[in-house]
Amino acid sequence: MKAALRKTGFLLFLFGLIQVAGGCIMEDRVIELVVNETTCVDFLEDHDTVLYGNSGTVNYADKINEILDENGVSRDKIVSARLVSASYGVTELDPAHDDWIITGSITVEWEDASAPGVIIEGPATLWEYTDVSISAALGKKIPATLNRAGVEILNKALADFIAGGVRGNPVLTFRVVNTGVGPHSPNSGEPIQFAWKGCIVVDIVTETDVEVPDPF
Amino acid sequence: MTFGGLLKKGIAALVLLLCFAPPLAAQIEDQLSAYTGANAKGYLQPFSSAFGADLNTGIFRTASIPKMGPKIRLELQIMSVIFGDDDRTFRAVTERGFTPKTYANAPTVVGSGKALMVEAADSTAFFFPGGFDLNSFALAAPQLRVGGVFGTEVILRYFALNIGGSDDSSGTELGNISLFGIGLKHSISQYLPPLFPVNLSAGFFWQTFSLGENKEGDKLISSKTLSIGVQASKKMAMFFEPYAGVSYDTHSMSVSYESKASDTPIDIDVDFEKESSMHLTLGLMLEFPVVKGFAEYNIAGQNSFALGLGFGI
Repeated sequence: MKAALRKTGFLLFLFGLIQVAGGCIMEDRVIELVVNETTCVDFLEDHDTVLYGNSGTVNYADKINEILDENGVSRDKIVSARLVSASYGVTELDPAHDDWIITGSITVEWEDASAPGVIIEGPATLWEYTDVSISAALGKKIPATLNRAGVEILNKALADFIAGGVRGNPVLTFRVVNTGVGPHSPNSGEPIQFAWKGCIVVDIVTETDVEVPDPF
Repeated sequence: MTFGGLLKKGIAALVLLLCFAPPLAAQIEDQLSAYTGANAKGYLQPFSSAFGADLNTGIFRTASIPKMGPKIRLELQIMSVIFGDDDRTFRAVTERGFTPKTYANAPTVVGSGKALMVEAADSTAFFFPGGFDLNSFALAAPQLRVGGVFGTEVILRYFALNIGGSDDSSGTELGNISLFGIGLKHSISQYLPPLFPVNLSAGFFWQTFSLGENKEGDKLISSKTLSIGVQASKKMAMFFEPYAGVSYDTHSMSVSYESKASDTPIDIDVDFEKESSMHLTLGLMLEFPVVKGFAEYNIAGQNSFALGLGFGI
C-alpha cells in the first residue's frame, strides 16, 4: 500500500512537472522589429551665382528592399515606415578660399518611377538652412529643422510603397535651392566650390513571427 | 504513457528549454540594434533580473547531509520567474536625432510585441521596438550533488552547447549556451545536539552563464552570480521534507551587441550594475529511494520558483 502511494504521489508530481515543462515551452509571437536606414545624398557645388540648384535622387524602393532582404522579411510584413530626422554637413571645401555663408532650402518631390518626369507630389521644402558657414559645417552633422510639408511627401511615398506601390515606387528627388551667398557673391573668377551631403533617417517597422520559450 | 516515457519527455523538455534560449538571444540582438546604450539597458532590465533570479534558484534545497556516507545525485530542474506588469515597460527616450527629445513608456524585452510610435508636430515619427510578450523566463539546469565527506557536499552545474547555424531572419549566428556553477554546502547539524529539531546547513554557490553570439563573434549575454546562505529542513513523514533557506545573492550581467541606431554600426557594451538581494526559499522535497522530486518558491528582488527531479542516492 505504501509503495503504491509513493508511486502514485511521485507520478502525480512528475505529471505536473511535465505538463508545465513539456507541454507548452514554445509559444508563437508576432513582434515588431525596428530597422533604421540612413540615406545620404551628396551634392557637389561649383557655381558662379548666388541662385543655384543641384539635385540628387533616391529610389527608396531599392533601399527598403535591401533592408527586407537583410532581415529576411517580405514587403507585406512592413507595418510602417516614417522619416525620423535629417542632418547635413560639408564634406569637402577649398581650404585656400575664405569662408562662404549660404542660405537656402532642400526640397523634396516624389516622382512616378513608371513614368519618369511625372511628379506625383511636391516639390515641398524639407528643411531650410540659413546663414550656414561652410567651413564651420565641415565634418559636422548639423540637425535639420524639418518642414511638415516635405516630411509628409516622404512619408506618403513610403506608405504608398508599403501599400503595394499604388502610385509608383518611392523615387524621391532632393533639390538644393540656394538663395543667398555671403560675404559676397560668387563669380566666374571666384566660384563657390564645396561638397556637402544631406542625410535622412527612416524607421521601418516590420512584423516578425518568432517562437519564444515561455513555459509558464 | 509509461513511467519511462514520462521521464524521457520531461528530460526532453529540459533540454529543449536550454536549446531554445540561443535563438531567443539572437532575436534579442536584432531588437536591440535599434537602441544605443541607455535605452538598451532599460529594455533588457527585466531580463537581467530574471537571469539572476533563475540562476540563484534551486541550489541548496534540504539541509540534511550525511556526515560520512555516499551521496551522489544528478538533478534536472527548471527555474523560472513570472513577470509582472511593472516589468513590461521602461522609461525610454527617443534617439536617432528625433526632435523634440521625447520620453515614453516603451516595451521592455518582455513587454508587448507592438512597437511604440511617438510623433512630432512636423510629422516625423520615432519607433521603439516591441518586446517578446513573455509571461515567464525559465532556464533549465542539470546539477550534480556529491557528498558527504565530513558533512560537506559539492554542488556542480554544467551545460554547454553550440547551437551553430544561423537565425533565418537576420543571419545572426545563434552561438553557444554555456553554464558552469560550483559550490559547497556544509552540515551545521553535525555540531548541534542530536535532538535539535531541524537539520541546518550553510553553503555558497558561484555561477557563470553565457548565451548567444553577437555579430562580432563575442558572447551576447554574460552573467555571473553568487549565493551565500543557510538552510533548514525537517523530514516530516516517510518521504516529505519541507525546507527553507535564507541567502544573500549577487548578480551581474553584461550584454555586447551591434547597434545600428546611427549611420554606421557601432559595438555597444551594456554593463548592468551588480544587483544584491536577500533571498528566502520555501520548498518541499519528495524523497523516494532513488528518485527525488522538489518544488520551491523564492522570495527575492525578483520572485522565482523551481521544479525538478533528482536521481541517485
